[in-house]
Amino acid sequence: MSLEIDPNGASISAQLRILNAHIGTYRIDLWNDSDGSGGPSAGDQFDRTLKEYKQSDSGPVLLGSPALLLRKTLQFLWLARQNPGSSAPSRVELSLWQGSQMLSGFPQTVEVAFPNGQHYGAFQIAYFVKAQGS
Amino acid sequence: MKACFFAFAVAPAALAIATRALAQEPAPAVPTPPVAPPPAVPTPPVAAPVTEPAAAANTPNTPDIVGAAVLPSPADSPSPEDEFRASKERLDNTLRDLAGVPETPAAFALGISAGTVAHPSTIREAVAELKVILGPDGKLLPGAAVEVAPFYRITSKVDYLKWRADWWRPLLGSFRISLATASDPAQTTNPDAPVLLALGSRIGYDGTDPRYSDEAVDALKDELIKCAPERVSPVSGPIAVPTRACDFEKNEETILEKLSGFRAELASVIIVENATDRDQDADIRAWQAWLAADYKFSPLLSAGLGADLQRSKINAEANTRSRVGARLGLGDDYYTLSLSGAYARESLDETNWFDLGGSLSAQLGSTATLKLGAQASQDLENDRSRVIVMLGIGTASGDPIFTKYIGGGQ
Repeated sequence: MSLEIDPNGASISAQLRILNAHIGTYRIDLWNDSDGSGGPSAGDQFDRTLKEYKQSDSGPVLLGSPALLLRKTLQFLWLARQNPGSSAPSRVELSLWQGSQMLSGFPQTVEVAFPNGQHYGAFQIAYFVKAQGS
Repeated sequence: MKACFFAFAVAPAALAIATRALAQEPAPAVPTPPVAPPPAVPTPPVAAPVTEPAAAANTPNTPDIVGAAVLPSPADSPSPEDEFRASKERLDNTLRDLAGVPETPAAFALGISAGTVAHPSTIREAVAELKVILGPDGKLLPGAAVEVAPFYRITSKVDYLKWRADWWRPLLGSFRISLATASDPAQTTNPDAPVLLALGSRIGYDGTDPRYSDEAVDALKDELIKCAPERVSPVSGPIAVPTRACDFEKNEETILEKLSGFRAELASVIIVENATDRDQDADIRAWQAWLAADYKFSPLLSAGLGADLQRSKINAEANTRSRVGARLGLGDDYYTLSLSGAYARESLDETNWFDLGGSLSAQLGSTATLKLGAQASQDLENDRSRVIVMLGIGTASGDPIFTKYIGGGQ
């Protein structure tokens, strides 16, 4: 999966909201496209963490300038917990902005089932950052 | 407090004083027929702040026949056996259901184990479950039980902060409808016995939900972080990733036990016979409503109040039973002491009972439980009194292994 930004535009910020009234937190990591695959892959090398767990969970987080993110992979890792006995999937809403403009294709809502027999879990989704029109 | 009380006898039932997890569906259980003929008169389950799986009753119970013996007409003098049975039932009812509400009212009313109740999470699954209930000729088939929370998805589409801020979301999200079918327990030898249909509902507020407490949310987040994988190679996803080895459930339990708060629940059930029979008129066999509230002061102390109103037919005669009671509970998962008091009126036998009782339960290892119960009952209308004591051993999940009653008019 990929997302497109204006390489000469404003800084990028992001927010992940954990829905279904679940308790949770998330982290955002940046990975280098070391294998040149042009997308999230096992060959990518870890660059840095842009947002730690429990840091500004309730609002947008500034990720950085387009130059910092271009041609790299943005990975969202989230942890969620629901009341024992519930079996709803984990559902999150991802929003990404460049300046005050929401990026095309966002906000996105994604859903993942909790691991079998567990009412808590860890999940991830990753995007390759491309320049618009590329 | 968990597992304070068990359905040691009579109808299987699971009880929740407060709204429990808004389950869409539990792990599917192998459907089993009701172990005991269920009471046509719904027998309320035990009051306990935490839901326990329904205990399968292994004591046959044929309420309409028993009802005639338990609730004699005013002109009859009850025999010692009748007195004993009545005292036993009074004690069982107190131990199981005082100041409480059934987890799944429709299943409870027909004696169906809560563990076998289906919880479809989509409309398609719900329709499939309903198709199982209706036979090819449109008549009801026994042994089905389903519960849905129709507003759960709509009310919980938001993050937990929004869920908490909008007072109506938790309340509406807790609303559940249940439906169950069973053969008439009073006609177990009749192959053409009518199938009873029970329709139930339940709504509640649970002030001990961790989402109301910033401290609990923070603590749970910390526990989740302990389970988070260090680094995970990125894939497009979205996917679940393996967590680290961690004691999340154990530590979560410690956090949840410390939560205190007010809980309240309202439930109702109606039992109908001949609901889909074109040859006979549908008839309401019984209905019952419960209102219960408690306050959990600490992991070791809770106090509750409850009331229930029941109208049923005992051998074609209408009987109305109303009851108000209170319970104080002390203890934890392993040792629990409770004291209770209740006032009940029955219209058919014109009795006004006041019950004062207590019980003590103790975990024996991880597989069994010892339970002692005692109750003094005074019939204020007819100047009768009874004291009955119960000693029981059951499994950890509440299934009775051995029970002995002493006293009660015998």
